[in-house]
This record gives sequence, structure tokens and C-alpha cells, in this order.
Amino acid sequence: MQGKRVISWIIFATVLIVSLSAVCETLSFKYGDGILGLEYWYEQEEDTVDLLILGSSHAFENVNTAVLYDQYGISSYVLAGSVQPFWNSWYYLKEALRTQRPKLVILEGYLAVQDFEYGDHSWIIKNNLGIKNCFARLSSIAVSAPEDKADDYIFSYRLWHSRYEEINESDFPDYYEKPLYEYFKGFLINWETTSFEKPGVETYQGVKSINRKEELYFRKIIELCQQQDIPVMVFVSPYVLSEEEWGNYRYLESVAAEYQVPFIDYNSEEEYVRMGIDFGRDMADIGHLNYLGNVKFTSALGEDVLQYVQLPDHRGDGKYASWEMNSRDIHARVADHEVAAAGDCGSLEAALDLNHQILYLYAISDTSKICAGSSLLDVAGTNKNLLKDGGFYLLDDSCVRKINNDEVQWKYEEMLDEKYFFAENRLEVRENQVIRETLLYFDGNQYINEQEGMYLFVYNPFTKSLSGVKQLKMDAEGNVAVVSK
Amino acid sequence: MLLFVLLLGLAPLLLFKYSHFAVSNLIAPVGISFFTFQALGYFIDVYRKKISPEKNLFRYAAFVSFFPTIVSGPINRADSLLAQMKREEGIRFSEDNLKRGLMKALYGAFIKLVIADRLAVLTDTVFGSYRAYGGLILFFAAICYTIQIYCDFSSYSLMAVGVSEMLGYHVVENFKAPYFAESIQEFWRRWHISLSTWFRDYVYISMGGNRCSGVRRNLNLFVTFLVSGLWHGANWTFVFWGGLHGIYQIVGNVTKPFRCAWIKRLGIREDCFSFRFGKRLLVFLCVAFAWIFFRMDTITDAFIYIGRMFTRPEIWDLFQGEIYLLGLNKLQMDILGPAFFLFLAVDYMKYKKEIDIDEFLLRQNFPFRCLFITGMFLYTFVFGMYGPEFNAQDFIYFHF
Repeated sequence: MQGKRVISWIIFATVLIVSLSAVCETLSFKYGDGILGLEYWYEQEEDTVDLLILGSSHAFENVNTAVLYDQYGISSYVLAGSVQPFWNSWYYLKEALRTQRPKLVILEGYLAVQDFEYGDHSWIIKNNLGIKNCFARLSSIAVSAPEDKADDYIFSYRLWHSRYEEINESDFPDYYEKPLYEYFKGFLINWETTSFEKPGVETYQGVKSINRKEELYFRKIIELCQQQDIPVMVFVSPYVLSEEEWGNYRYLESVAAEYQVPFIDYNSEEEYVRMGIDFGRDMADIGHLNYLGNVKFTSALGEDVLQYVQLPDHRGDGKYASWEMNSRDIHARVADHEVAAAGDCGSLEAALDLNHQILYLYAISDTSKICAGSSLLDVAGTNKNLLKDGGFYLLDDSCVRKINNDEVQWKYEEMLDEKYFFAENRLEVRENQVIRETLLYFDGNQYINEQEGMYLFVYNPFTKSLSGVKQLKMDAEGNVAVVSK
Repeated sequence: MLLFVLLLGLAPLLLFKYSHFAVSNLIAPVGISFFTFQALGYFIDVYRKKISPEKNLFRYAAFVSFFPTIVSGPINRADSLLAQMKREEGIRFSEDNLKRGLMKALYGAFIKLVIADRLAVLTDTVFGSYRAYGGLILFFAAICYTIQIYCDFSSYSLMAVGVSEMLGYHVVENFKAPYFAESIQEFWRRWHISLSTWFRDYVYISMGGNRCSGVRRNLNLFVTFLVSGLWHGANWTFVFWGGLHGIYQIVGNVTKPFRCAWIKRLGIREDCFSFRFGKRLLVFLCVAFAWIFFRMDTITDAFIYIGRMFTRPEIWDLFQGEIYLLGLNKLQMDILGPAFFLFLAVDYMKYKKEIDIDEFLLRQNFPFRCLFITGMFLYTFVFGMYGPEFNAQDFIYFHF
């Protein structure tokens, strides 16, 4: 009887704990710009990170870990959060040093321009709740939140338990079975492009002091690194800064100089030219570089880093395979983006890569005209004469495989990374008329909305995502137009 | 001597709670109304020789400041709680007490966080700007407040009873499905039992109680309810609310012979579902009506509120989705639905079979009990209204 009671308590406790864990896992915050950065940091193999980058979104959107690895073999990690103040960066550094011993720490200095004692609610959440160590988290919260509000952040479930109205696929583990997360190194690409005028930095002058709390923790970061005999460097990434902000950086530079810490402000005419930054094409928004700009900036940053500290080249070392995969992932997602963004035959042709993409082609009409009017389909080494109206093809290596043979009504189905893909051609009789229906369906979406031209379905098996679906059709001028679906 | 002791005991309560009638507000210690009455009850019972005086100061202090009930009741009697503390039985902990206590406390948290605090969003929206709404919405909000206040009050009592039970102490039950009552008298035998019996034993009976003539008895009743209203807060609305319940009972008593005669004359069956349901509905509506005075800041506002319910019905609001614009969207209402039905079922079970949810669950097989409790816990954890946006500290009871 006693044993039965004990067993029943154990079973009850197990059921409760398992179900509560599942609920907590689903509802807890999963922000990429803060919380996930730390979560994946903890998963890095011990003592593999040579270069630790701390800072704000100017770090995690501008410092491209793939470039650092591809060009220099540097194993880097960007441990940064949205509008992350220096005090959070200090706690992040302390936390980071528990599991890693970087050979260089570089601190991004944007928060020198911010003048607040406490961040807003979302920043406090993003920059604190990912810290695993309980004491460190509580200490960080105590510094980050006003005294009368700090209690709200101690038990994080009180903040996220009511997120049920926001639940989407990114709250479930399946979503994270992608290389982006498996090999995450803290870098998030910004795909937007916004055009700006180059800031007139050559005319800027003056020194402007910074918020005292930011300065205090800026100093603490440097002091901690120096106590640990870890070289430290400070940088400011290129963006459309104001003269006042430039003045803040001059002050920050003077503080860094007190510790003989190198300070590189990439906001100078000389640096813009050196990097080849084009403010009309390389900016995502006023503060961040896009997928084109971050490559240029990081290339220069890597060069400067190696002039300061010789970091080992890990290219080809199996122990650093995750950086290799991170690089592949970033390149693959850039390729996906270029396919998605392509709006004409030239850019689409440049974006296609049969070595890394799966291409299906559904030729509905005007096949011969489109083939004659564009070299796009040459990408597969395609013998374009094989392509006929009504055909469904897999463009594979150097050949074209017709999947539907010569049937009039046919259906092709496949699971692409557990997402349902099918193409179909069927005839239906409605009101004494034979109606032809062509379908190109993937993951719940139907892509054919015009029964003309050709539909090119591009899938990236590495990123496990659809790069794009493009309709190729003849426009009024007799040219081949590319329409994104 | 008794009068002196009573005045001494009441002085802090009078000072902190009612001084603002004359001077500016003082911040009252939380639960002052409860622990004051608990102490006064002890004094009166000793005076009446119902119990012997407690010689152990620490035991007495433990009785008055019994932590599960100090803040919001139930108000314990010395012959119950103090007697349990005197029992020398060693450790009171038992697995059965622990299970029952946990289940009661969990259910209390469930109805507080999922139902009461959720309804509070709606009622605050409507009562806060009642002139902007039509009669149907005002009526709906009044009903919601009726449910909210019950869930709020009973939840804290349940949690207090549950925690006490975990410690091995059985404290008085405070609510017994009052909204299923078939008369106002029965309602008060089921609502806030520890307070109503306190007023009955120490105020009503002290004034003569039922031993007086009809007029005097009704007067005693009326005065008792006025005082009860005043106990709830230092505002005339509470006094009016108490007085209204007094009038309900007086009218009920006075008209009873006439009602019984007419029921007999008309051949109305009293033992059928429709008659009993009708009685329950009438009592519920009378209670809901009185709660409007309890909720509003002034009596005038309450009368205007009630007036608008009848003069501007605006029934079309029911068909235009206005109900989802009162602070709770459709999802929130959907969350409320199952919780409310569970609450209704538990209350009905309490009324019909006089068993609480813990007793019901203990009679079920383990798998059902396990899943039910886990489900209720998770429902409260996810859908409970707590966290930075919601202040669970705003227990209505904490104002007393």
C-alpha cells in the first residue's frame, strides 16, 4: 500500500514535470537577437571560440562569421543583443568566460551613443533572460531594470506564460532543425536594402561624453579582459551616424586609450573607401549593413584583427567543422535570397546553382518562345529542344528529366524535408466544358495562378527552405519576364 | 470590562479603515478586518464562558496571526482553531491532508487567476466607463462582476483552507455554492460563512436575535447587515449594499405568509425543477443587483448604472460582437468558457452532494485524477492572469 502510494506520487510528478517542461519550452522567449545567441553559445564546444564579439545589433548584423572563417580561418562568435548596453555585455563576457577562453575579445561600441539608465522592457528581456547562471542572471537584471520593476524579470515564466496568442512554428523544436540554428554563431543577416547618403564624417568634430553607467561598464569589460590576459579591441561599424554620435565615439576612444586598447572607428572616409562601402546599396537601414555590406566590412575587420592578434587558421580542421557548416549555411541563404529577389532573367540566371539547388520546371505554354528568348535554362546544360508545353521536368546536373512522361493527366508528389510538394495537371468537366487545372503546391501554398508560361521551382536542400518560385512568361514586348510567386 | 476590551480591539480597525470619513487616508495593515474580528471573537467567547482563556501567549498569538487566514480569512473561532492548536498530537502532517490541501489550493488559484482576474478586465472596462455602454452590456457586466467577486472571494478562502489543511489544520469553510441558494436567507448561510456567522453570533444575537418581536427582530437584522456592509469598506456604497440585503431578508420574512398562501391557492408545484430554478434565478438577480452598489464608487453612480440598464437596453449589441470589445477578445472568452463550466460543475456538486473538488477527485481513479490535476495546473499556469501586466495582488478581499 505504501509502495503503491509512492509509485503514484512518482507517476504524478513525472506527468506534471514532463508536461510542464513541454509547455515552458513552447512558451518561453526565443528571440534571435539576444536569447538564442546565448543559448547556442552554451552549445559551443569548450575552448573553440578564438574571437568573441560583444555588442549590440551593430555586431550581430554586421560581423559576418562566415567571412571571418572563409577568408581567415577565424572561429568567431557574436554574443550580442538588441540595443545591448555595455552592462549586459559585461555580464555576457563573464558568462562566456565560464566555458570559453577566447584569444581576442572585440567590443562593438554603438551603445556609447545611447543615454539611458535602463533599457526598455523588450531589451531587458532579450539581454538578460538567456543567461543560464542564476546568480549572473539576477545580478544582470538588477543592473538592467529599475528597482521597482526588477522583480518582474526574476521569474521569467511570469513574462512569457501569456504568449499563447503569439505561438507559431518557431516555438516548436522542429523549426530549429535547420543549419541556421544547428551551426549558429550569433550572426543574423539583414536582407533589406535602403539607400542613404554617405555621412559627411570628414567634417565632424568635437568630443561628447557618454552616459556614466555605460562608461563604467565599458571600463569593466576592458579591465576584466586585461585581468584575464585576454587582448581586447573596440570597434565601431560603418553606419549613417550623426556628428553627435561621432563625438561620443571620440570620447569612447579616449577611454580605450587609457588602457592602451586599440580602437577602430570604421566611420571615416578612408575606411569607407578601403572597404568599398556603398551607402546606396550596402545598408539595410540607418544603423545596419545588409547582406552585401557586412561582407565588405567583415573582410576589413578580419584583416585588422589579425594585425593586432595572430589568430590560428582553422580551415580544414575537423574540430572546427561547425564553422565550416555555418559558412555553408550563410552562403546558401544568400543564394536563396538572390533567387527570391531576382526580378529578371539575368539576376535569376546568376542566382541559380544546380550543385546546391533542386530545380523543377513546369512548362505550361510558350515553352519554345521562352527557351529561345532567354539563356536562363542553359544553366542545366539543358537541351532546350527537349522542353515541351505540358511537360514537368527535373533539371538535374547536366540533363533534363521529364517526370510526367506523355500523360495528359498526371500527378507528381515528393516530400522535401517533410514538407509536401506536388505538381499536377488534371482535366475537369464543368458546365460541359473541359477545364485544365495545373497545380504547383508546396508546404500549404499553391503557386500557379496564371495558366501561362513556365514555373521554375527552386528548393535548397541545405537550408531546407524554398528559395523561390518564378514564373517565366513572354511580356508585351516579346521579352522573357520573370515574376516572383 | 468587555466593552473596554472590545473598544481597544476595534480601535485600530476604526482608525485605519474609517478615519478617512473625517481625515485623510491612512494605509491600513492588510487583513486588519479579519484578524481583528478573529481576536474579538475570542474575547467574547471567553466572556461568555464558551471557552476558557488561553494562558499560552505564543499559542494565542499563533491563533490570531495564523498565516494562511490572517490576510483574507476565513475568520476562525477559538473553539475550533485554537482547540486544534492545543491538541497535543505531535506532527499533524499526513499524506491525505497534503493531497486535499494541494487540490483545494490549486483549484483556488485556478478560479482566481483564470476566471476572477480575467473577468476583472471586462468589468473594469465597463464599470469604469459605464455611460458609454448600453443596457445589455451593463447587465452582462453586472453578471460578470457577480461571478468575478464570488470567484475572487472564494478563491482566497479555498487557498487559505488548502494551505491550512496541508499543515493539518481544518479551518471553517467560507462558501457553499451560494449562487444556487433558493432564498436570500439561504444565500447568507452559504456566502462568506465565517463572517455572516460572526455577525450572527456576536451582533445579531447580542441585540436579541430571534427572541424579539417581529419588528425588533427585523430591525436587528437590518442593523446587522448595515454593520456587515460597513465592515466591507469605508464607503456608503457598502453600507447601502448591506442595507439592501437586510431589506431583502425583511421583505422575504414579511411576505412569506402571503407568498405561501398564494402558491397554495394557485396550485403551484414547489418541488419541480422550474419552480426551484425560478427561485434560484430570482435570488441570483437580486444578489447581482446589490453587487452593483458594492462595485460602484458612489450610490448615485450605481443608480445611474441601473437606470441605464432599463432605459437604454440596446439589445443589438448582442448581435454585433460588442461583447468582444470590452477588454476580452474572442480568444480570452474562449479560454474563460471551459473554466467557467468547470467552476459551475464544481459548485453544483458542492450544492447537491456537499462535496468539494478534492473529495470528488479522491473518489476517482488515479489516472483521471492525475490528468485532471495536471490539466488544471497547466491551464492556470498558461492562462492565468498574472505577471507584469496583471497584478494578482489586487485581491478584492485585500481591501478589507
